[in-house]
Amino acid sequence: MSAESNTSENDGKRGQIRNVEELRNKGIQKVRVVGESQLKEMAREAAARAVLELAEELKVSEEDRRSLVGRAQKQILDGDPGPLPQIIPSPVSKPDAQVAHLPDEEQVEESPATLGLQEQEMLIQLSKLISKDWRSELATVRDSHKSQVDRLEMRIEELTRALRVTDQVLTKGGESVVNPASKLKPFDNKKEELLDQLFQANVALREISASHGAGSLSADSEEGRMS
Amino acid sequence: MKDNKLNQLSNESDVISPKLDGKSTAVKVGIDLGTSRSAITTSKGERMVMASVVGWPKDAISAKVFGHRVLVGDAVLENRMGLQTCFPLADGNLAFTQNAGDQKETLRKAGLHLFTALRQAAKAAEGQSVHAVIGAPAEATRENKQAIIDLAREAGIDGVMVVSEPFAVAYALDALEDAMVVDIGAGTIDLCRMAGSLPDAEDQVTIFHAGNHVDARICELLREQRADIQFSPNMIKKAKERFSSVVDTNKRALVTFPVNGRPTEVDITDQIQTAVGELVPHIVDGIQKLVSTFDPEFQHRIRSRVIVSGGGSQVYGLQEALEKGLEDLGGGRVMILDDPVFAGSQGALKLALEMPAEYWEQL
Ligand SMILES: Nc1ncnc2c1ncn2[C@@H]1O[C@H](COP(=O)(O)OP(=O)(O)OP(=O)(O)O)[C@@H](O)[C@H]1O
Ligand SMILES: [Mg+2]
Repeated sequence: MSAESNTSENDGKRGQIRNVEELRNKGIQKVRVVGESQLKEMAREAAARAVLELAEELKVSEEDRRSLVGRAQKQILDGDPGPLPQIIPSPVSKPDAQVAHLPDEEQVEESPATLGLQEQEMLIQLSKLISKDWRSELATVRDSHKSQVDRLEMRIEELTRALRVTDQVLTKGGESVVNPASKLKPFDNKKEELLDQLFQANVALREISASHGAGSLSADSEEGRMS
Repeated sequence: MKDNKLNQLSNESDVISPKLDGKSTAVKVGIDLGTSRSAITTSKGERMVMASVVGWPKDAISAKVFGHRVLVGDAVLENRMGLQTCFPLADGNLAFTQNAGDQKETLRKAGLHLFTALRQAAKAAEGQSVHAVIGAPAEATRENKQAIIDLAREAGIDGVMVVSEPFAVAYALDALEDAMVVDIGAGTIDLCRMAGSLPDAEDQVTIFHAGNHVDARICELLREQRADIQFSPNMIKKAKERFSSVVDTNKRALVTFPVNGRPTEVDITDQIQTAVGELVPHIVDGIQKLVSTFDPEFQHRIRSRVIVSGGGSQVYGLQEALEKGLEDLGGGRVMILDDPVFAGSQGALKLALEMPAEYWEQL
């Protein structure tokens, strides 16, 4: 994805740039280049969505489902500060027959259309792998809820590991990008404190009587001037 | 416009209290007060962006066309020819605080008109109060923050809090710690590291080399290299926004300029790329400043979550260029926001909504 001028150390990367250019040449004006880190986050998101969809099919209590999904997402998104996918309280219970055509295409369509072609391709592959894997897994663990949950947890762990590998493959030179610290601790107390600090700062601002002396900033731009 | 009425208004609502709990029904708004454009997002679900420019008829003839009205926003740019225009913000700050005499008063009035337009965009019902959190540049002076509060109140915004613009962006994303926000605007690039508390001076850096400088630089390069073409700064800005890139692409920046009065297509790809590319080392420097002065144990964390917002974030290939620049500092992860125009005002709105009601009452 790096595309510094005339320094194509890597032909594959040049190839990706050309794909984006193809789009541009077709008249698409706004093309965003998606970097490795964003791609990694999308991969995580795809995995998280797969977990959600699969969990919906489980015949377990709502509570169990939530806790399972919660833990799965925690693991998958571990180190990822981005927003968690919504935990949808399963709206309609889906008949097993529908399992066959669950997620793949939908998943792909949901990912932003601004992805490069190769990135899209990778995401498609990844989500296919994930959902395929999970579905065959599900078929073998339907016997009892308990084992179902256990196995799913194991799969989640595996999936997490797989994602880490994906991360590393995507990272140039393979240096580790996995942040082991969990980012999912609740912010509520911190937020209260922040809001309080902000309020106090504004109160202080008000209390100091305004002395509108001249600032020291240069104003050499067009703005701030008359024309 | 409605100077004295405003104070009365807020007092009246206390006394008469026609809507009973008038306070909780105040419209909450988040405002990103920008040098080139200002965005507002409201608790009623409205969002709007307007050029931060004010204009009034130049002469008697224009007055016939426009009436004796003061125009605010994009309409001013569209009717530039007939209007006296004034940008009330410079380098991210209210310009009148840095001027004297007649010009000071004109700039102040222009600022007031801009706030009045923003107040109107809040679409508050008659008698309903407006509470605003307003984003200011990271390094805004105290005078400037006070000037923002004063003008906003004069324009009829009942409750005002000022917040650092990049902090508002971070708040929008819940990126309250282990993150860094880079807001690339027209007047300034504002950087802010998030370490779990309200950022103070040491947590922020303002770079006065942003979009406007890029525009000026392109003009300079063109004057040097293509003395034959005629252009206005606005033409250059538009061309930049359309073709800006820090990587090589097949797409050439072909722009039509008058050459000896005849429209001629000119390739200005190189000039744009050079000028835009000059932003990158500035940004990397700024990031380094904030990283190197941070607790060494946690430096890698803020480097690995650099969030880029503002109009300048739309430069093609910027993410890669910045990540490449960060490689020398041990690497980093850069994320470009999908909605850079409204990220700041959205964060400011979130702050306004989550701010306890009793705080608003005290302001
Ligand atoms: N596609 C683009 N490529 C490069 N620059 C762009 C692009 N789109 C917008 N800009 C530039 O971004 C700047 C405007 O961004 P933004 O609206 O965030 O600034 P602002 O908030 O008005 O300024 P400031 O934050 O400095 O007060 C302008 O300089 C504009 O030319
Ligand atoms: Mg801005």
